[in-house]
Amino acid sequence: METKDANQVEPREQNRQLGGKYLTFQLGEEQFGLEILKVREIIGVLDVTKVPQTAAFVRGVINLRGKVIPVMDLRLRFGLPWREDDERTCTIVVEVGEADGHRRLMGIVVDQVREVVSVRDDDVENTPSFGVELDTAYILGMAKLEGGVKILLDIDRVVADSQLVIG
Amino acid sequence: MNDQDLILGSLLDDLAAEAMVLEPGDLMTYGDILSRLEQLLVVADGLGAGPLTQLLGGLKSIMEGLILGQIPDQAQGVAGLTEGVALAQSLLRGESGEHELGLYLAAQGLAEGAPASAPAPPPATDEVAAATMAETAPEASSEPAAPPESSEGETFADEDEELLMGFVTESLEHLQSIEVNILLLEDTPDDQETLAAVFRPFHTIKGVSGFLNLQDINHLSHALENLLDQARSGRLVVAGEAIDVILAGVDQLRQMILEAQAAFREKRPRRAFSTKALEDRIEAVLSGEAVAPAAPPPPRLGEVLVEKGLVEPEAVEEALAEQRERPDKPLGEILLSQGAAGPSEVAEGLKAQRAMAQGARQVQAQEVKIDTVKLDNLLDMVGELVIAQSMVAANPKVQAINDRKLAADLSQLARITTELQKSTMAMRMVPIKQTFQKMVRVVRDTAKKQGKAVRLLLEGETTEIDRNMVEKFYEPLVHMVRNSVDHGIESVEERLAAGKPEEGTVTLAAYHKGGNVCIEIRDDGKGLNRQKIVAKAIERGLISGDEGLSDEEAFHLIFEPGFSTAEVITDISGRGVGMDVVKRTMEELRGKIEIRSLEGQGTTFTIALPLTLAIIDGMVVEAAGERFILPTVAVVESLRPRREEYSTVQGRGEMIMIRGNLLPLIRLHEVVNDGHERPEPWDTLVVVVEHHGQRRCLLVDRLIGRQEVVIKSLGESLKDVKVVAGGAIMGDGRVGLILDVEGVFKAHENRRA
Repeated sequence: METKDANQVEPREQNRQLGGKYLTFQLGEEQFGLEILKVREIIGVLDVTKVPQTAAFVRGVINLRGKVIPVMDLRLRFGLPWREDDERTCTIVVEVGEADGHRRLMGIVVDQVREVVSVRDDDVENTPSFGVELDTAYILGMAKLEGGVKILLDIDRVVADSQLVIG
Repeated sequence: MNDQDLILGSLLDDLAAEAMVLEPGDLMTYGDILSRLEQLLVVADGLGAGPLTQLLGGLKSIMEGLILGQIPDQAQGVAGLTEGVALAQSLLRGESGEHELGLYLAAQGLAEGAPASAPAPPPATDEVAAATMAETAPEASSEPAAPPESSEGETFADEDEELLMGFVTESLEHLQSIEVNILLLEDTPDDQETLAAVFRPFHTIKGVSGFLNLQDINHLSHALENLLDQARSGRLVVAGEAIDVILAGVDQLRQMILEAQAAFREKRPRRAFSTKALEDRIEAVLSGEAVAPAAPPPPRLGEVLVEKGLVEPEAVEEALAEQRERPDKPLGEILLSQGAAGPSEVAEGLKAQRAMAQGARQVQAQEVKIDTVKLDNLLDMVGELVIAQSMVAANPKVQAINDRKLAADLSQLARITTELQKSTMAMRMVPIKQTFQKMVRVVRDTAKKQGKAVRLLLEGETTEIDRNMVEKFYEPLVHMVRNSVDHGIESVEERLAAGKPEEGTVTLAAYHKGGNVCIEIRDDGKGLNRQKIVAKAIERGLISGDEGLSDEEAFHLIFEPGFSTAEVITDISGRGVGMDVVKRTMEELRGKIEIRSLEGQGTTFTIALPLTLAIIDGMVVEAAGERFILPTVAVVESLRPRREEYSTVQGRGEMIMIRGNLLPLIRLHEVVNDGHERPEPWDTLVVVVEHHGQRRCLLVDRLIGRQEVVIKSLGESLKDVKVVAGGAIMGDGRVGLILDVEGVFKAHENRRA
């Protein structure tokens, strides 16, 4: 499902300032970073209501204090194998902008939330084309930090490109 | 009909809805309609629908002619357009063919596909002046008093955005209030307060537009302000032509302001308007050329006294005769001296007179503007509070505490939360007043065009209605009100011949009844003619005969698609487009229409709408481990079928025999899930659901109960899930899905295909 977008990707501004605070989380063997400004809150795994006619990576919808929001399993979204939830599995509620100016909330299930880190502009390197299963279109850059390399995720693009509904 | 025809049909319906409320000269709507036509052309072209494409092409050129001012008679152009739209609908239904199309195109002068561009005589002067755009009136600068049009070609700077947007919203509100007040002024022309209420907004618009360098808007509002200033100082009576000029001015200002907004959004230069024609008319009014005889300030004391039954009409006549001789003496005094009325009666009459004059004046409601997002958030949170409260109260550990104080506090908490929920729900409601008041203008304009005398009475204006509903319901209401004036009320001669008062009355009433909001459109006109309706319906092939048809059922035939379209082609008023569109909109709003009519005495349409669109009465069912909500309106019954009532067609299509009818069985498990579970129908339950006259059996695991739920959107990313209409927060705080019955039927059909 990612392939169709490869053509649409505009050349990313190479000099974009990527420094700032990131929330890091674990997915499989890799560590990712999410811009902290996009994160609304972190909650556990709530009881979801399954929605028919949706893709396998859509867990369903939850009630977030009176609002109905969709929840996406990021593992399945990136084609990683399914894994049983454990006590560390978390839902990160992100707020993403849309082309029409509306903002949308979405829950993203990850294996484990780590910490909030500060990234300096110099820490970030452009995305090399390397062999992760993940399309590089969704990567803002790679941050080399003491704790290891974090993949800085372009969550707006991940959400915008996700075809939640099938059939 | 296949899917594409359906899409085409619904696009056409939308177009018809817009066309039916189109006013000649309304440039904004012209533009809308043109883009709808273009959209339709693309769809129709893709289908290879020859005649329809030809017709739409013709309509498009009419529209272009209207916009460019090439069609001299705007009203006729609009009539031609609505007729064409009706023809398009009937073409699509296959009720008309090439022959009708040929006739229509020929009548519109479109036979060769050439745009109707006969050399245009100047537009009639009483036409809404908006049609006179800058290029058609180059003489604007010849007027010495008016500075040259300098606004053409200007663009707005980005930093003006906030100012401009603020100006647009505010001005549009001002214009609306002017419209309402000016019509009040028609009844009480010398009421200073109402005059001021009309004057002030013009003054504000003038000031801000000058600041924003919107020259033409500034000029026009200045001229109008002048006119009203004269009225305020008593040198001019606002009546007749003055009112028409002000209303025309309001229309043009609205268009200029909307154009400014559109220009800013599209980052293009603003189109300048010529205000010369209007300014000339204002000048004419001011110089007294066009001043209509000053209307006497109604209501008059004598009338009030007679109406209240306090004084005999003859006594008033007598007193008035005396007053003519001694004009400086008040009527009340004469009546007293003649002994026709006691002081208390006169006092009561005076009080009533004053109340009438004041009651008409718009009372400024105390209100605060709130961002709808904030309001929705509040509603969400209150909903959660109710759930949290009930969860605490239902907690077994809390219930085990044997404490009177706690029990009392908990029930107090429950009361408060319920009350809070009610108040927040009430915030979505707005009084129907504003919508009703817009109808005053509609009635006035329509009656004027037809040369009829019609007065509009409003009842129950304070009745509240869901804000979202008001918008959807506006166009159909305009249509129905217009229909009442147009077809309901007779001409003055006919009325006099029938022994009725010269002036017809249309009453708009709103009230609450049994959990519904009812809106009545009542006229004292000629009533519906059952024979004619039935005859026309038979002619159109809608029914074969009228045996066993009640009056109400016969009247409802006017809502059938294809009924009013037949009329439009013969009807000179050319306004017959789609009562079926009215009905469809009401159905979308989950409303019902009732018709009562007595020949010679009038017709009453009663529309019953639900109180709010936000809440749905639902049947909660369980299937595949999830709860689903079915709208109760769609549920016919639920039952557990017997084994022998179940049958299959070729081993696949499952059917249930219910009282002699074979109904297809839909397994909800298959629709919402992979359908691994295959419970036997006789072990579980089926719910019979109906949609658009089609019935299906829905196999579910369990029926949980009936419940009113607040509808929540699943959001942009899940809007394409066709089988689900929305979500609802259930009592345990989880989300339940509201099923879309049509979507479920479709999903089932696709599965079998």
